[in-house]
Amino acid sequence: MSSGEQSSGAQSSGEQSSGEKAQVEAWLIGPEAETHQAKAAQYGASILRLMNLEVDADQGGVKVSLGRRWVDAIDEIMTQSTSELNSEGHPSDSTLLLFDNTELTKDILGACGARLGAPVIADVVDLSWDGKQCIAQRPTYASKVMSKVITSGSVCLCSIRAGLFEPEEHPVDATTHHYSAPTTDALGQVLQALVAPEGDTVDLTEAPIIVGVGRGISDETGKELVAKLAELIQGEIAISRAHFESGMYSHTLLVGQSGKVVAPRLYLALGISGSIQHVAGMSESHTIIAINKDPDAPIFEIADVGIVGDLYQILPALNQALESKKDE
Amino acid sequence: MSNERTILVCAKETPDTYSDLSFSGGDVQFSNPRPVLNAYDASALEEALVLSEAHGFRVHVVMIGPERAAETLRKALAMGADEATLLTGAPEGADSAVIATILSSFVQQFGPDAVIMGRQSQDTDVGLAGTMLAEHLGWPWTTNAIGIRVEENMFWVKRQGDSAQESISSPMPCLITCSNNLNDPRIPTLKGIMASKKKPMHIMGIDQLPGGESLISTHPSTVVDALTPMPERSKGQVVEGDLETLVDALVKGLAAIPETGVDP
Repeated sequence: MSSGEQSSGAQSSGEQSSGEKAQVEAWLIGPEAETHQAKAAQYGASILRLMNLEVDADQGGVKVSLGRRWVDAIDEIMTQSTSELNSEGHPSDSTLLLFDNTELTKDILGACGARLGAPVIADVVDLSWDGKQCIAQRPTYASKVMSKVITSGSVCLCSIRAGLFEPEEHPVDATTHHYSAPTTDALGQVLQALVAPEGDTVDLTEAPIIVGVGRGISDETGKELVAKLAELIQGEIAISRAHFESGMYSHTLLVGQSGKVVAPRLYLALGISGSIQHVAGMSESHTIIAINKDPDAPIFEIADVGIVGDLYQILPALNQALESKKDE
Repeated sequence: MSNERTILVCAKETPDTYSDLSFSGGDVQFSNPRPVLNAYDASALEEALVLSEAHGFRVHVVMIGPERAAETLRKALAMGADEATLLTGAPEGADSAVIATILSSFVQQFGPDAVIMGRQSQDTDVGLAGTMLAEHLGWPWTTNAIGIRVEENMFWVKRQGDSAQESISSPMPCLITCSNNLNDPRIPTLKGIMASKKKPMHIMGIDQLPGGESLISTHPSTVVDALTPMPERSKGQVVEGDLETLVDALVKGLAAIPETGVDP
């Protein structure tokens, strides 16, 4: 089948020389895959491929399957869908598989690439693909340098950094295909336990407002002030490495080179000095407001608004000001 | 000694990315010209040494790099590793897939009981080589470890997942990638530095590995085409003054973002 004809059956293929658009599919894999069905169609995926995975551990509403199950699942859907498209007479000659950039993806992306024999580009912030060549931009050297990476192949894999692409609603009538999870040989590996943080689990990478807490908040009083502020501005709390060690907050809230990479509408940095490692995780935020008592803190070099002062004086006054505005 | 168990630490030499960088002719230069041991791999090595102290593993470090990298690898010996191998002659521009293929050949020949490595390198932040290697080997893997212990002939790894910490047990051999939040790597002591000079360091061309002929001619499938400075955020306004001034500036700043729900 020539490249011009492939769009009708292609898996997420790009625009070909004939100008036909890519076919966009959503592969919904996981413990409760069908719950995301409506949303995927809302954003323009015309083919949904669903696979429920066996759950290895379930704790407080958090369900986790071993990474190997995901790799087997993606491999299986790739094989099955390719053969379906072939038998329908619409073979796909190129596929771009896009992943989010979560810890789950980081756990499986390399293995998926190796399994599928496909090139992989991780943590992409800008991407173009013409069905043959994939050109990606990705931050490197602790987000100080942009690296342009080129690859080609009939299948390419990319993980996309969160918060940089505005999702556009584009409802379509989607066709759904169901698949059974293949039998995974866990190779003796067992997911023994989960320690899920108390309270609601939040997806920081999707939060529009993030309140980042650093060393400048050092006790329960400070923690309460921060919680109050976060509530008033509908923000989610994140932490710098200082609080990975303090034990005051859940480790899942870590933002930085070794934690989550976020790009919210607003990142409010409280008592965060702005180490290279932390900044690498939040420098793409649309707006950064920082409060720090050290006027020379590096965070002020990247903040849109920098406030020099003592958090323990500022936060009570700020919370009061915001509350009285609400009462007006 | 033949029944001694071994942990293989896969390490990378990187530029000191935490020093100041500058561009010249499309290439990046760092103010500290001396390469360093990738911070994530240093955490992996630290953990291997702790496990070695508790359980008697032999710790072997392997690195792919030019002959000059022997100096960085020597630092790993000074930290306490027993032995090291430097694999030279990797193809120009080797990407994660090429690195994983070379390491896979080495690991299969070497036969360690576990591979422990950093979850990413501090220069490129790619983080793919670990699970690519595990998949090539057909070994169970656990990524982003924040705690590792050995019990009943199994590796028990606590990994930081997206919304929970996961405790995963794996039989040997297995592969583990480490967060740099796992520990604080030790600084080599003078005694360690002296001892490192007598420890075995093997320098080996990758053409000497099984399948070596094809390893040296492997073309990377992803190519870095250009490096450009990141568009820098411009420094905004910095507000100093009395409490009222500071709070006013904050309220104004917050109100400018509709998602905060703060009325302008």
